[in-house]
Amino acid sequence: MRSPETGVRARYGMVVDLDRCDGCGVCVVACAVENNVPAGHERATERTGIAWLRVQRLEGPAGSAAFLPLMCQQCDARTPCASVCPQNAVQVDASSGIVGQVPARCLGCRYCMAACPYQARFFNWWDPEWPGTLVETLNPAVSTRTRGVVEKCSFCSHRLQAARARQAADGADRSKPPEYTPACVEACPAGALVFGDLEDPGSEAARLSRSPDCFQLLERLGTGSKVFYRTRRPWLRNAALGAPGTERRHDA
Amino acid sequence: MTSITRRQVLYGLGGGVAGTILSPLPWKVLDDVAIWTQHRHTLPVPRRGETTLRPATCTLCPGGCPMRVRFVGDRPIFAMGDPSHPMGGGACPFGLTLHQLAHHPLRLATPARRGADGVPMPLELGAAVAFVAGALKEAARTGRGVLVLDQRPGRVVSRAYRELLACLPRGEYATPEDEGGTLATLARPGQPLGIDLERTGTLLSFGAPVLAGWGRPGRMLAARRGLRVVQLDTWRSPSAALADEWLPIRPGSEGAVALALAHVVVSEGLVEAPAPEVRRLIARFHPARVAPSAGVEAQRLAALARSLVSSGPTAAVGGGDPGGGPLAPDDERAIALLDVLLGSVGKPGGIVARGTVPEESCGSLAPERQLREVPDGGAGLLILDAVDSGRALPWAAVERKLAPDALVVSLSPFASGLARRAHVQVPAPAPLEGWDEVLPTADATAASYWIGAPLVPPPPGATDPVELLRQVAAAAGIAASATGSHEDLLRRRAEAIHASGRGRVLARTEDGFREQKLPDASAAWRALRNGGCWIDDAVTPAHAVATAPSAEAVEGWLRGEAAGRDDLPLVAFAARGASGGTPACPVLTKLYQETELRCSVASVAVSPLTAREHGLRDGSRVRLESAAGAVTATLRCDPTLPPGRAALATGPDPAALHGKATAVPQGALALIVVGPDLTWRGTRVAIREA
Amino acid sequence: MTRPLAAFLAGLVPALAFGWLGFPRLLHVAAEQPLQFSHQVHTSEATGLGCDDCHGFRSDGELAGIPSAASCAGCHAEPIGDSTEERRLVEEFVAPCREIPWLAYSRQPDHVYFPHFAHVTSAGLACEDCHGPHGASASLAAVEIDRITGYARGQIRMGECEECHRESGRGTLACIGCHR
Repeated sequence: MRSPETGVRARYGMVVDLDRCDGCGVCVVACAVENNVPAGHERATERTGIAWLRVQRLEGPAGSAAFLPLMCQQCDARTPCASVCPQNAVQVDASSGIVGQVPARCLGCRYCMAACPYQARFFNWWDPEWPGTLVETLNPAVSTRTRGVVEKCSFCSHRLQAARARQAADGADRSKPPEYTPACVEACPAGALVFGDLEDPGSEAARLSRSPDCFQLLERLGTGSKVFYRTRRPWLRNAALGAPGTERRHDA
Repeated sequence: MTSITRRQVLYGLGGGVAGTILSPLPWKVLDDVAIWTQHRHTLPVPRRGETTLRPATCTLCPGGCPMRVRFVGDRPIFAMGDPSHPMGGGACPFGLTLHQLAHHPLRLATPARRGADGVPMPLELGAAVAFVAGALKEAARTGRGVLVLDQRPGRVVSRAYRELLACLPRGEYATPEDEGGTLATLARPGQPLGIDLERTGTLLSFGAPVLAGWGRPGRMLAARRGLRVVQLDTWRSPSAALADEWLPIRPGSEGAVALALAHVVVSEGLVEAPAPEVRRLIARFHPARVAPSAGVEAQRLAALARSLVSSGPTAAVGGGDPGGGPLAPDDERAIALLDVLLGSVGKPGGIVARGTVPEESCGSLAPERQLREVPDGGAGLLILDAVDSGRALPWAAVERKLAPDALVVSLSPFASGLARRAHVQVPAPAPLEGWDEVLPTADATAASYWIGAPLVPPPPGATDPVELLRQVAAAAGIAASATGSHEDLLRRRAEAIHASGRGRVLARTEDGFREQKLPDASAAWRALRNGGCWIDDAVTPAHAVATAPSAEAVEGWLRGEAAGRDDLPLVAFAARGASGGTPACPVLTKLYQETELRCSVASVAVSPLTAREHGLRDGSRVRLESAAGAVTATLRCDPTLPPGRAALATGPDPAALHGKATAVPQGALALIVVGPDLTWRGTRVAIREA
Repeated sequence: MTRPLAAFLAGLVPALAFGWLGFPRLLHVAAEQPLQFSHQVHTSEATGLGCDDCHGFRSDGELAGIPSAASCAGCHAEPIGDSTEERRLVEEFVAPCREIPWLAYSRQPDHVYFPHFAHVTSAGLACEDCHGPHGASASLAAVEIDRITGYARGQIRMGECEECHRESGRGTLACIGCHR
């Protein structure tokens, strides 16, 4: 479904500085807390659990390692998951570039999970549970999902909604895309995540994404990923890109 | 009247169907059922409210990261680090769940007494106070000791304990080893030491997790760029992965390696010649002699030693690992000796002395002792303070200080960790519900102080520790010299800080933190009460003399490990906050179970070579046995782990992640053998297929 | 009339009647509000309250929709009139600090985001445009709740939102514009 917008065009993207990321995992927990992702079921594994944002470990020389946060790359050139959804539950929003996943519409066929080349989509195999009074810590800005639907990183689109509401409340110019910060970016202690409108020449994200150190994952697929990774270390770039002759280690 | 025919009935039914179709009934039912299928009424709908951002402090470990907590109405829903705070900028995944801890399934909201079957039964506060007071009087009567174990010394609560204990015939106040073991070896009483990280050239870490949860996280993040970090570690720890260089040393070889490095810098004349007896000691630790037991080539040790001088100033630090426990005192002495030899003590970029945090003056206090110095078997009553150090403290280390039928009281707000051994629990407020203080970390070169004020009302059954001590003292007929609530004690401390005339107070204002001219003491209190902080970064000259390691330890290092042993040294590890008394919140399955970023207690790692030697395969179930116990785990072949050891986490407890309490500890905590010096790095395990 | 036609009508008419009249009544449960409240009285000349006084906007731009018992307590800490409903308000809710469990006439599911501010201030919609003459009512009608879906009768659905957004050319038509 096309969305004729009010003329506001933005492409929100992220630049991840792999030389700053120390694999602490704060972003992973911040995302889960902000988006009401339930704790893993007792039988949940790395494949069946839900972590919209995951940190991968890449082995380097002499026992060193680097860490790569991986989330939905918000593809907007050829969006694999949007084109396969039979329910129209996935839509690329032209006014922000965010690939929206509507859990209320999802029927759980998991076709999108098969289509996503980044394995960035997750399925609710179990009923979500919040033991004790942990329900009191849920974020009202994000809906809770039921068993049987797929979910993924939304670049905290609920924060974009709030930013637009604040724009209206402040009487600001509504033709300019508002600035906002997803939870992972806000929480990262190392400042490894930068977020902003890639179309805005003044934004730091746009500026950094054009740096020669930047690369995208699986660029050859032409997905139009809006997450850029940046490193000055050649071995890390090769490992992330999976260049022939380099090893990308998989745990289990 | 004609009878109704079948045909008429059929026509009638046809009319009914037509009428139904022409009415909204079937369409509305279909539509409503479609909506019904989308809507799961059992899913919780969080309450809405106004969003506010409030300052807080994480006190899950001594790091004390300043935090910002987002509230919706009166409910906290998100916590993150506060980079605007002068001492801020850090946070760890455990701190991100700060606001959830009050709702953890293992949280205790009322005092409880453990029955004979181990099941806790609720207890009225008055009855709990009477119990503790009675136990105090009984201990005094029978001449047995009363031991208070405080994992975060230096707070006003700590002082309250010490005042109470001073009134008893045998009151002992003890703290476990923290990450400042090396500095403590060098420091003199009243003159704490720190590491001048901002000017350090090389930080040489003997197994301390300097890059992954150590000291004040915000400080290390800021200092990292200009620092060369060399990690000497028995496994590929997160710090080893991030360090500039990692030397995989054998477990137990820390002392020998320190002396080998000392040998090189002294024998090659790279540093000032030491006293003759020190020269004699380190002369025996030629790198070639140490290399086999250290597991590192002699040339590599020598090259490292030279770089410590060429890329100086160098600070060498031990202190142990949150899960692996402290280093043996002799190891710390060897590392401290290296620091002295390198000339780091008292120099910029090295080890410097800092001021203390002023306290209110008062009467007599029980002296602060290390837990390992407390005599064994003497305590008839043990009181476990509420606050956690974020490091593992095994029950075996505590138990040996107790008399056979000692009573254990815990103030922890959680039914986990050591608190599960308590006969009576009088829970303190959970994080964000009570008062907290942040004191300088072990590495700090600045004396600093700030307060965390309560943001959320505690449940009626939670008891502030200061209030509890006041009630217990009154019930036991002990005249306490210090009176007042927790807030009063904090206010008086703020006044003492103001009266000292040292340092500066930075108050939280709308434009960030500003140094404030404080007209009087109550202005100082207001500034601290409202999220400000006090900093005194005046550095004083440090004088330290290193103690030589004991002869027994030296001989042991030179002897090395006996060959041909079938069992393996156990490398126990944990992230800071993962195996202390605070249970991990369920959302941490994202790191410990649903992704492979961190290793949980469910899997034990060995190198592929070691696995082959023991006839084990990656992914198989194995049984680990030590002198203390046994566990089963899944084997993980880890090529980054050097051969000849098994690595197993001490936490987090997976049962706690799923909201349950286990009767026995899991993971490495069930296997460790605690030595007389309260270390467990010498634990060995036998491994076989389960 | 022929007999077949009569038989047909004998089935058609009751079915139509049931479908159009009986079924809606059966389908919906009328739930009474916990307290009766007269908007007319409160917005009258004598009292002089406007919509904004109780249903105002917070600083973050969100609407504080149904007022809390605390706002009622602002005037009704003690009974100021002589109605039984007011006495019940004070005794059952204000005095014991209990929130009044009001029933919403248009509670959207939690995955819907509706910013009042953008609609009221930017789009210039009046309260009555969506909520009808509710603000001038003398009493609160019972909420008719659909037994199957749990939503109120006549509640705004996505089709109506979409229609207005499309026709006026304002507002988002993207899923993530309104869903979260």
